[in-house]
Amino acid sequence: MKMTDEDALEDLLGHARKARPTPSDALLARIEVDAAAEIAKHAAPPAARCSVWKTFSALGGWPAFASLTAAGVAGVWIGATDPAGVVSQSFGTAMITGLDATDPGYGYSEFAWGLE
Amino acid sequence: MDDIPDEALLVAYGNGDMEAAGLLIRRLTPRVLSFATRMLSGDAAEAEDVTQEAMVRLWRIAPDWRQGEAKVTTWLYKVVANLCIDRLRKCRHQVVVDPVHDPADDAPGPTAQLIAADRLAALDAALRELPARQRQTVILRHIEGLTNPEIARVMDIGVEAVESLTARGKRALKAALEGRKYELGYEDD
Repeated sequence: MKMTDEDALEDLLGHARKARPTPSDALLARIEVDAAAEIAKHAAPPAARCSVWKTFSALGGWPAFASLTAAGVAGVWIGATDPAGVVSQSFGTAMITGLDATDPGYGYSEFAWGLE
Repeated sequence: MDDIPDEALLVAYGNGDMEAAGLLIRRLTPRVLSFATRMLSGDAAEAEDVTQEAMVRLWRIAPDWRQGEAKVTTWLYKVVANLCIDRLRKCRHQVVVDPVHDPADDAPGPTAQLIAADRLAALDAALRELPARQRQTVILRHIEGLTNPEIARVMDIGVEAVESLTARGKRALKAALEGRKYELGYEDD
């Protein structure tokens, strides 16, 4: 029996359809390992924690945090304290330099003198 | 679970569902391996490498996959075709041994299984001589069973171009196999 070229080709292609390779267990296992590894890379919590810690470190870490806290406490203390203390300190400065701290022009004349 | 579309399974995997990954592996790996094997002229080891690489790329794109934009199989066939064409270009300078042209294989195989193996090897040898795009369309249409519009989407070309490439590919295959019909058992004395 003589087959046409078309028939012969169709038969060959049919063989190829039937002979589709079956993946080995080893290949399937490798692909599954890859899937687990790739999804682990996309797990968000470790990345977020890492990012916050990196930012904290970049800003100076614990020493910078302590300095910032001390400055904040000092600011609150200065703001809450009786301003008389500040005036008395100014008076003490005036005693040393010979200036009258109660004079409304206190400091400005010194400033002008410095410019002359 | 068998009714769930590939696209939904991929999104589920992207959200950390390894069971969805298992289903996708069982569904898609045979198709990917089959296409890669024929594209690479029956080289099983290379085809396995390409299959694993294509699946890794699928896992990597999963978190960004948007349902409704593309079919997973279309995307995957495209990746496999590109990987295979890259490998074929790199190997072009290498001498590929064609077992069908080996004088020792001139006699037909003693069993039907051997005849089938000879015929498959002959087809692989003929496919290897085709330009990559003709080979791709013939394999996707006549072995993987995709429709012309599906192939057009895989290759980013029009349906008419697919039809033209397939027709030219089949003509070239017939010409390549014409002188071997007797050897392959398609002609009597």
